[in-house]
Amino acid sequence: MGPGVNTFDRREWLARSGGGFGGLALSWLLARDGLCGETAAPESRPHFAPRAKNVIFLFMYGGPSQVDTFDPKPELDRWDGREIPVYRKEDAFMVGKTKPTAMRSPFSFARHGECGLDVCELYPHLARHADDLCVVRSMHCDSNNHGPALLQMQSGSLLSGHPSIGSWVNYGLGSESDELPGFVVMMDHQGAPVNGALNWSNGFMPASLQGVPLRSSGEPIAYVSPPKGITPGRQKAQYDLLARWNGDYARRNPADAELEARVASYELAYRMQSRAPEAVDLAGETSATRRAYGLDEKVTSHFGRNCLLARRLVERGVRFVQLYSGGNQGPRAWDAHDDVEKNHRLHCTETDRPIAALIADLKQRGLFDETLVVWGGEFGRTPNTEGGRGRDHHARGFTMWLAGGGTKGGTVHGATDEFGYHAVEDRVSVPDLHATVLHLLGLDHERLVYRHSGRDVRLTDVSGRVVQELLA
Amino acid sequence: MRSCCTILLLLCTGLPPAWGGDPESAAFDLLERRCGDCHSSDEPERGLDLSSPKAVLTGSTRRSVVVPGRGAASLLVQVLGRGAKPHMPPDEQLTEDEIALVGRWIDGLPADTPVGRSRVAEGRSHWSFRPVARPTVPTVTRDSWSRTSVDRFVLARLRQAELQPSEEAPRATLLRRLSFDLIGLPPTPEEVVAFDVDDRPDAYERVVDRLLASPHYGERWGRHWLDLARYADSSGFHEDHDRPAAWRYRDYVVASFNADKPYGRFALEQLAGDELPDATVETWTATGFGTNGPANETNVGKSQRAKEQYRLDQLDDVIATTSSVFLGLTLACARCHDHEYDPLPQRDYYRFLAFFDGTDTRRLELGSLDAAEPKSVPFKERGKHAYLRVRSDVRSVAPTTNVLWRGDPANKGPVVEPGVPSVLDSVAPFSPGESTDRRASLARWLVGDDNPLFWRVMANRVWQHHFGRGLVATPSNLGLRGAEPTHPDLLDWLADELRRSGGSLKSLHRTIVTSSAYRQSSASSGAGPSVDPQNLLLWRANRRRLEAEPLRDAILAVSGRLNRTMGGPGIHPRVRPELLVASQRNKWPVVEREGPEHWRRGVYVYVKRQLQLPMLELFDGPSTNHSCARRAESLVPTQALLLMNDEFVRDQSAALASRVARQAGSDDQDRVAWLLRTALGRPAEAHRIDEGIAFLAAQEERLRAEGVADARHEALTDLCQVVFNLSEFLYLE
Repeated sequence: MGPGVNTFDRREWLARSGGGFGGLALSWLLARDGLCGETAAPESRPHFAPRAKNVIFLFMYGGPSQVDTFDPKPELDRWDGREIPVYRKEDAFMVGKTKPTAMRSPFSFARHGECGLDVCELYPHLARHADDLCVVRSMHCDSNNHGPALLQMQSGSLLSGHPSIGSWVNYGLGSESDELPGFVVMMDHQGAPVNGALNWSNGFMPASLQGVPLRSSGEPIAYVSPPKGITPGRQKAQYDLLARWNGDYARRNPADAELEARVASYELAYRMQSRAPEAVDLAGETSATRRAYGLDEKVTSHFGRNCLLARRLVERGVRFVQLYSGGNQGPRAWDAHDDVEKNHRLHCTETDRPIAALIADLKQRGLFDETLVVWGGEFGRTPNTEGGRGRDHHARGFTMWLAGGGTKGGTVHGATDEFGYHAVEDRVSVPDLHATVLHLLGLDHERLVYRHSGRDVRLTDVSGRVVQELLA
Repeated sequence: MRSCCTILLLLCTGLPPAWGGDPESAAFDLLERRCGDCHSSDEPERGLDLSSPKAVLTGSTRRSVVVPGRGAASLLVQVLGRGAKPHMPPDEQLTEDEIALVGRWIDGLPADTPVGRSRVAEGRSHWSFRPVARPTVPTVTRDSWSRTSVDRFVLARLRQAELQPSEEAPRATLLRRLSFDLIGLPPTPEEVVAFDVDDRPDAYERVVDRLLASPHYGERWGRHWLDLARYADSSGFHEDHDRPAAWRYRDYVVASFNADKPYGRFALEQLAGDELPDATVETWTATGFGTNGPANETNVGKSQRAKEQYRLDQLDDVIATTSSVFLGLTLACARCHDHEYDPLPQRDYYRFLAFFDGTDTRRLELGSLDAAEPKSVPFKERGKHAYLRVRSDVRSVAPTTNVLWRGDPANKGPVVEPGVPSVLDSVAPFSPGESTDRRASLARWLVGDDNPLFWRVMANRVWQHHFGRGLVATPSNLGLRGAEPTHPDLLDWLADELRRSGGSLKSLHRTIVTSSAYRQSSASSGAGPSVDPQNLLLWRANRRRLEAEPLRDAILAVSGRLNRTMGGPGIHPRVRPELLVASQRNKWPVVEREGPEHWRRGVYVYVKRQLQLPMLELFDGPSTNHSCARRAESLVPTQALLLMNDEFVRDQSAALASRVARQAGSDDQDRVAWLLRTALGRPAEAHRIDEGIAFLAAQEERLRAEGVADARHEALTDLCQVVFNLSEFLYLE
């Protein structure tokens, strides 16, 4: 039991504040802001019955190639080495290097599942879940440059300074967990994506809503371990004295609710210290589970570990978990400028077993229906070549998929043209995707607003349409 | 129904003389016939009334539907087209000829025909756009409380609500409040004693003057300004380039506050420091205001279109910042369409843009300032500190500025001349200067005595930082959706005081902090909590949490390690190596052990957009992507974790323990009393001292049992860290 439990009735306080620490901090903050006139009165949320409670966003940073993964284009075989008519010079990012000539996929495709979903040969494990995937082949975004495109996928805006979707979800629903942050980010072992922490920024929202990086080794969350050489008992004595002195001060000043909230925050901090290491401790997982996620093989161990951690976090009430595959830049990410075969063979292999295991594990634990899994990058890649065997960035048409959390498995939505270049059928924009994710969580993207600079700002700004065809 | 409408319409409007056989009458005859069912009545669909040219030009409730002079580009024509989405009229299709009728009328309109729902005329009556008059100071009967005019305004409002002001706070509380408010540092134990025994009648005023004269004043208030100016030492975005010359702007701001530079001059230098006849290195540095925003110049794409879009985005940052900081207007909302709420037509945005069109971030070699006419050069961030980042003209001739429909550079509207928001043009008329002098002419207008917003906005900002909330709670938005002022007359009186003093912020501080209203206790008592729980009427002082920098500074000041060196390039305190991974480019250096060079004030910490110093970030340091007028005050367990587990706090606790041992001797009673008095700025209660002693004894015993060397000192360190975590340490009463 944490310190200070007897200093006041924590349960009652939490109940009054809407439950959960996110709720507590936020309701206090909203009250403050409300009195300042910049924030509209909070309405009750979710807006309607949610299908999903949590999101796991598998972010393939660098931009996976649609025509080499989930959107096979036999036409590219026929046109290989020839100029494709749909190519437009202005779509190239690597101006001067990128050529208008088609490049066939080095991978073969086969149909899987009852739905007959086309999946490339690099995903043998994931392909077994074909009937769980809801593949969107008609994604498009507004930048073919990593930085802005990442920001758009995360926050809806090409510019920095806007809250990322994980912040929006926690703003909308509050955190379910008392001991863990509501928005957790896990980076690739190669390093952070471009934009760094701006990708999981709370933007103009309170700091409590920012993404918290979680590490799979060492200290899981920054500052949850006592300083070196300080035993838990020794620090507990400090927490106890603080509970007494801060609690006493709060009681003498009952009109200032933040003083009481501060006492609670220390109690919760103490609980985080004891719970966070447990959340990342995989010792309790069976060897079968560890093997399924690929922890015993070097190539899959890193992403596998993060996928397994994602399941553990969702079990513990973390609303939004974001995992990056690919870090830093160039070939260490999915950014296959030089050699798409080599690049994607590596990254698909790194992620295939872990993702398949994650889906199976969520299902086995009854979490799949309430957990929305999103897969994709900040954009796709050109069907035409970048000179050699690589593909350039491509924003005009690419693939993402959703699974679980109220989505319709075994679906293919939308289509690109015969070359996989332009999204042409049932196009889905990034705001459309965001609107759909929020919808599955029971949030109306037009009503989920945050007052900033005198304006009610939305994740989807002025557009966004819930893609009904993706819903189960 | 339809005929009724038509008849009514005819009765009301009559037939204007122009309705002969010309394109206009033909078009309106058609619109009336084919669209009049839904779009001409008291409540037309979507607010779009198509019954008269004036109404059509007004547009729907959401947007204008006509681009004057360009029928094909107008929404009104586009929705009529075959296959258009949305399509009008629903389930019907007008012929090509019919559509052409409407198009021809629009084609014939002069390009500068005003369109949209101009709310300018009615907007003029909004309180903040009216002139600042000097209100009469209220007279309040049986008033033994008021010291200054400020108090009479406050008391008059309290009396209306049948509330009483609170008692004056104890001297120690006042000193701590004043110190943090004016210089951002806690009072020293000597200062506490000196003030306590000073029985001269003007002892308080003397403290105020001492603090205002301290160079730390500029560091404190300069930081408030840097929030507004979205200051950072790196570019943000993908590359997050180092800006090795950015700190010169920061030092300029600190020095300007310390010099009590007139606020008008301060604004003038930042907007047009390069255009001034008496331009100096200082005024050129000031233009850094226009270049502080995030930038992505190495990564914008290679097409002309992408470059132009980027240039306009950069200028949008300048417009957003300039209009919100100096005018309290959200003018950036009018980039793509008329402002949704405020009387700011889209045209006003582009007239404002015209002041800055043709400027860019430039580089000025410091050596070149010796020349008769210093010339800036295209920007390159290379070399170290011998140049300035400035915003200046690219060419000597200003370019032509067009309205851009929907903010799209490919969709040019009429040409506009530089101009200020039209809602202010009768209150504060603007006279354009030479074309080489555009920003200076804007700045001269901005800082003029007539400008009602300039003075109100700044007076309100100063008030906000003394009371924790502005008289207008939305300090950068005094528009229609901004908050109403709680004390409109007081705000005007303060704005007028600021104006009359020639823009002296130090006298405004003096006016505010010498009031009885400021000196109230923050304790909650009487009817206040039930009548006015939010304390809008100021029946007590607000309890406020220290912002991130004063918190860090206070820890250093109390530990005795604060290095008071001012100015120069930003410092890089220790960030845990595992956190550094979150910044991909322009890496933060790895610091094994902090030394005095790191123990400088928070205002000197390098502001890296991709990786803020965690302590500053967790305690709600400003987002540097936009101007920040009011920091959040969030409360999360990670703040507690940082104060309990971070090496910085632990190191400073150890330093404080050594200081306590040095200063207070070896007796635990003396040690605990000295520690609490020094950290909290007032004598500690006896029971607290007893509890502190008990903690030391128990902790020492525990540590001995754990085999910790120097258990007594370690126990004292633990107690020091507890003190850094006390609410009384983090909050100002």
